[in-house]
Amino acid sequence: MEEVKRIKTPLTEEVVMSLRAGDNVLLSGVIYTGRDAAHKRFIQALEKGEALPFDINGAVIYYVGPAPAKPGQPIGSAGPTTSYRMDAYTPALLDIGLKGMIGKGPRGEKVIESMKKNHAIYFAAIGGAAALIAKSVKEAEVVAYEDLGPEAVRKLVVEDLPLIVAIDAHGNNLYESGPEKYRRG
Amino acid sequence: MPICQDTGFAVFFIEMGEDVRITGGGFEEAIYEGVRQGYREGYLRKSIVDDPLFERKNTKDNTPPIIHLRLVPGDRIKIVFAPKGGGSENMSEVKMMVPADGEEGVKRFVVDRVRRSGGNPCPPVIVGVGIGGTFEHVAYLAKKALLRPVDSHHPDPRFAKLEDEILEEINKLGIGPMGLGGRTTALAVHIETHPCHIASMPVAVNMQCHAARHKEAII
Repeated sequence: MEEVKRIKTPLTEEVVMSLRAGDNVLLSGVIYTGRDAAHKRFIQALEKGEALPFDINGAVIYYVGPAPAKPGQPIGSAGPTTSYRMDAYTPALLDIGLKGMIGKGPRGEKVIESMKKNHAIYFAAIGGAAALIAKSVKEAEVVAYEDLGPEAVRKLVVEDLPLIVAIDAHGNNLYESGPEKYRRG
Repeated sequence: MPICQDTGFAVFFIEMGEDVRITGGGFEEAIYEGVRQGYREGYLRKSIVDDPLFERKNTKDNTPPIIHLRLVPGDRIKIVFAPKGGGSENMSEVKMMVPADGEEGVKRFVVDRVRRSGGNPCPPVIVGVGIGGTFEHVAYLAKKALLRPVDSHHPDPRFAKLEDEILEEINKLGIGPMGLGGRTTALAVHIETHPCHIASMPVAVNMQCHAARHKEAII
């Protein structure tokens, strides 16, 4: 079996630069959820000169809108949503310290350029394996935009969240190199 | 716990017997109430916003559903519930092709749609293809195609062959599970067809992620 790297948040420069596209990692620590509507509000806040609802320095944002938690559980199913929808907002967040993103699917060129410039990393979580992923979430708490329902910003404490490095800080992109190996005809 | 947190837009395909009479309230309201109860009691995610462009405020109960209703002979109601996730829905497309585009044109459009979707729709996908009808009907056909069992074929052997050929082409793309590379990009290609206008050949592709969940009931 391939080696699995255990990493912790907040992500350090050293860890980010050591990861390579294709690496399997288990992530532990605090991460924040945010998807379409929350990203729009992040950018609106920045434009107005307001603070973001969490410290973005070294932070990891998980693109997820979880299902509601059943009684006694911290969270419902919590798999990744498609990341390209956040592309328009992402470079501005990378510029102010965002270090990691978790989602699914490829990213646009501007995001990848910004990741290289700002030394950031993009992880893929397994779409559709949301019930399994929820097991890695130990605590969940809404910290902003509660009115957005599933799109509210949550602070999650995760333990050994299984991820794959999809695009690294050097610009290596598993969404290109992976399919290339299997393309026929 | 749902396998995927995106428990979708509640889409219903309903065949209503002509001899059925609904009493004690409206039929549509009953479906709405079913959605409210099901999504609340099942701890499913509420994924619907009230207006698509401006406020985009969550309706908090996953209503309204989308209801496709057909009248059929008989005294029963067949209800098929097909929750549809947003990630794969976003990779879908309608193209108003012309008769001259032919079989090759259809093939190219469908395979290209899957190629351009990459890892976004959570492959391995099921590809629903509508061919024929009108602009709005072809999209309905593509969605209806997703309801078929994965090992089924179009009853016309020419379309059945086209399903197999397109599937083979798609699986040569190498996109693989989650778009990270692999031999299986699609599990099935289902084509549904309808007669069409002499000037037209509408084609629609509706993508379904690997969390394909359907439920059927007959009342």
